[in-house]
Amino acid sequence: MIKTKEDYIKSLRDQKLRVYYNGKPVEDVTTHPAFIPHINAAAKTYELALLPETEDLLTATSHLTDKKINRFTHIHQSVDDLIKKVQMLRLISHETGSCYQRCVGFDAMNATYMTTYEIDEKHGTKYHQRFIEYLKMVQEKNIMVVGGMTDPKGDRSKRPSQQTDPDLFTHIVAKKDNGVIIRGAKSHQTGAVNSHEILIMPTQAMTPGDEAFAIVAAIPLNSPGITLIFGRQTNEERKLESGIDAGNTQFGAVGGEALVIFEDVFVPWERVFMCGEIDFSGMLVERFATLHRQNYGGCKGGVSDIIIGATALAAQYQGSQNASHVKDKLVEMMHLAETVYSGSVACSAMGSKTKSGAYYPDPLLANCTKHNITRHIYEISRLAHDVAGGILATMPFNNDLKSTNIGKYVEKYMVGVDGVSTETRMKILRLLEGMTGGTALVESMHGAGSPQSQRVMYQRLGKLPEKIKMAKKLAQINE
Amino acid sequence: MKKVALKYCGGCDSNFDRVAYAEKIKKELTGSVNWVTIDEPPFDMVLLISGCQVACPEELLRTKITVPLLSISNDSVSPEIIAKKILNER
Repeated sequence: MIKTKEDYIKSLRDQKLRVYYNGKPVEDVTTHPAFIPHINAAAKTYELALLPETEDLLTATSHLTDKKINRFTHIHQSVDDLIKKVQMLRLISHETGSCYQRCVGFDAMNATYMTTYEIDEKHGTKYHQRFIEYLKMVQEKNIMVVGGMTDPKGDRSKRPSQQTDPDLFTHIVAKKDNGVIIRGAKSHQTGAVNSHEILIMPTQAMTPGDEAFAIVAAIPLNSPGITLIFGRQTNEERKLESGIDAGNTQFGAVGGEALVIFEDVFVPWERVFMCGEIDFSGMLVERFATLHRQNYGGCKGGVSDIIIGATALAAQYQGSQNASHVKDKLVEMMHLAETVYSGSVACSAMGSKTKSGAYYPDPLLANCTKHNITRHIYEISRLAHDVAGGILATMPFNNDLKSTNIGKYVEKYMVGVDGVSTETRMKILRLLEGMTGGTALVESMHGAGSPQSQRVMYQRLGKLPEKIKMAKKLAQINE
Repeated sequence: MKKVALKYCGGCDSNFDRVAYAEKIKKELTGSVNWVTIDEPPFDMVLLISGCQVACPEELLRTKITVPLLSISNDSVSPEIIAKKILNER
């Protein structure tokens, strides 16, 4: 069982995934500077579960075994569990200032749990019991599972079965007595290179003809045929240095995404939890999306707390903290952070019980929460840039500061108020730079679905006819 | 020696440093209290330290324990006074 950070790192070293970084194979992700920050961030989900002052959020009691488990392997049994999830995410963000990746698999497992119950109810299949057995293993071993939903999708105007290359949607290529063979890929998989297994799900609602693409399965990432290609991030070469230019040097700017390729990968039947039931692929996608959108006010709210703190420090270090517009901008940033957090709490508080017994957040409110993230995190970052000043984008290198020839100039001209060193000022500005630009912002836009996918949900769940009816009643219109 | 179970809330967005506060209480009670966790019954009482007024674990704790519960959700009272309360709790 993985308990500590050390256990987790050892487990990653032992599993030997086929990972590529910048065109080269990676022998050991645990010692490669491109991956260490992401591993440190994910390791926090293990470390905090062992601390008395945080375990109340990081652990739960399994409804399957009655044992104490890591909350990231738990199936929500109440509204309280849904709220605790959001609280936990804000807490961990305060420790990492970055994505710690483990929520994707958490959400995939909850979505699969509740959906397999209903597939079985309609089709008489045995997916739910199979999934329970799998879940018991996950809880017992405390492994990290990545939730694999997003297919590359190729030509978006075509259905999966209409693609020139069917592999652009992960699909079943053969069914055997003992399992299935799958082929395809999952795009931008957060935390995949430092996870143990991937739980793949269909990427969208499927229609007749797309049965081969309606597959849910749990696959160890070291299975033969799996290749992971790590995605390039903004300024990510700074991680290869060991100075302050990387900003959040311990935990990185984002979760670390990879393209996961499945080249004729065998999956035994006991690890298959949907196989062609196209009538449930839409339900699974919506449930995963809702559970994942629920998170963002927690994790991004927590990350925003760090951005706000860093912005306040940047202002202090340059002596502008008492300017009224700076105070007002910090207030606005706090307003936006608490707004996104309140959305996550609200969709959790309005959660309900599914047929499986697992609890599910309010989908419209969860959707609204994530939609706010696509705007508010940009606004928070814009205000951070405003307060910090242009220096955020023009500062010299750390190597310039350390240079025996020119370090004295950087020291002299980058200084702010008395009593704060130039290096301290540069550290906070670099942290802010890394947290408010490039990949970190795009993650807020597209993680858990792009804004358009959220707008579609308003059309479906926003009860517009009821709103029209209420308006007519008040205006006394009878026609 | 009195056996006290120390329990924290999860600390999602604490208003004060719960651990530092608990450490001060522990220091006051050095040699007078045997500290255990909530998972190590039996104990004589429970000290719950929460980061805000919501005190998330309190409601559930009250249904689970039969010993006195001292619930702290801010640092307005000095740790020294809390330490005295613990010693005086029967």
